[in-house]
Amino acid sequence: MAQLADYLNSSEFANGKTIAITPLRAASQLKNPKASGSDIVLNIAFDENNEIIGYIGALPHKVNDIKCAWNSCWWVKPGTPAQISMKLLFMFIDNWGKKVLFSEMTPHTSKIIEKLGFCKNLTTFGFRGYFRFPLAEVLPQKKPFLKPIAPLLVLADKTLNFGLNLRDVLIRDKCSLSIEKTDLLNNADDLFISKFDMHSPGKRNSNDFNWISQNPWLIEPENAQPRISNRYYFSYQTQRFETAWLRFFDKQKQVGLVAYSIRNNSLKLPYVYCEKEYAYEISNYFLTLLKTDKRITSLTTFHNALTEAFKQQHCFLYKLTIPKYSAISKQLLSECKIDSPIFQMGDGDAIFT
Amino acid sequence: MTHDHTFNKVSEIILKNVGQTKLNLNRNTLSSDVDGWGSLQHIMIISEIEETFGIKFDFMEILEMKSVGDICIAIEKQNS
Repeated sequence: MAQLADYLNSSEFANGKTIAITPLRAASQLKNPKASGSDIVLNIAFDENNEIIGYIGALPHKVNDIKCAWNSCWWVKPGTPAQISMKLLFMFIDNWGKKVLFSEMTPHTSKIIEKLGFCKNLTTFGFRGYFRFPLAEVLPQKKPFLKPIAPLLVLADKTLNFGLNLRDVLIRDKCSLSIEKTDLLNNADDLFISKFDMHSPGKRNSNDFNWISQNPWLIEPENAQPRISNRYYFSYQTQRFETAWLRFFDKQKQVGLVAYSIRNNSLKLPYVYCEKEYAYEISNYFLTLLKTDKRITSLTTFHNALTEAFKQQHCFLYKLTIPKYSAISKQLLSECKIDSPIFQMGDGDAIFT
Repeated sequence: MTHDHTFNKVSEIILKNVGQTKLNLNRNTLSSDVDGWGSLQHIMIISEIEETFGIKFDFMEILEMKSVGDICIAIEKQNS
């Protein structure tokens, strides 16, 4: 951790074709309330020309006061021997005494972790609803040959989405709960959260959440540093990134606490704390948000009760069930004594982007 | 290259990297049966095998190699 600043000031960082971390992520890591100076947060592999050919990151965490780490990015240059990739992974696992967690893995990485046999792998299913036509956002990603006609797809979206204005008028259900929006959480929120996260290895408190809110990993282009995006494989810059918390009250009693993030056209609910009986009302709030913020095309959540609530809503153009792959090492599971771990969508580094 | 030649060469590489010369290996010998054949040694063994046989394995193939026989089969598959 202490050497992160040295790396940012090094000639490798200034002149290398690839960088292993962005200044934003490094600054955020340095303020992690669960980290200490001796934590190893990045392992980097260099070739004989001192160019980076791979790296693996760690996000320090604690579960029931047990030190552990989330894997946070793992990259090797295409064509690099698989052994480099393996060695980086084994270094990460060893650095943290086999007390590690993985979130938002790709299916391929999930198979690798499962094959290694030292983790409990979990697949959870969430909801993604498309509220507006996302042709320009989705089609070129799936069919790269459509990239040249992206402007036409934008026009198609605008035309089709204009027609949806009538549907929006017909959405009458409003959230009957009172709502408070906030950027920062407090001790009262910790007390509320504690009712829900007993089985969650990813559990965070207000201190953690406020650190996250104040140290995002994404930046809008006008504030971005040059020569970062084109040298870093993972996210750095994005057109729009907003985050906030919402407190939901039934009369005077708090019944929900939800974190939301909007990245470009996607609305996500990385953390949801609410009783099942209020999920439908909370879903109505987000429908109102979708209706009024016309830039948003989709909503994603992995919270069970909210997923069921959104599935009951009829205003989505298209609904998908999407998987999320997580893992927790058996070593950590046995030490933290959580029998049936439950992960939230924002666990690990997912909430930062 | 014959199966025996592949097996002999693989055995030589394994024994050299685990620091044992007198051990008798057979195709059913598992990495977990051999003292000194840990995850890092496994990486070094695979690197030397790739260089010796002029082949490349991917991550999943390496993970699936649990025995001497698995390694030999993986080599023979690449060479066929």
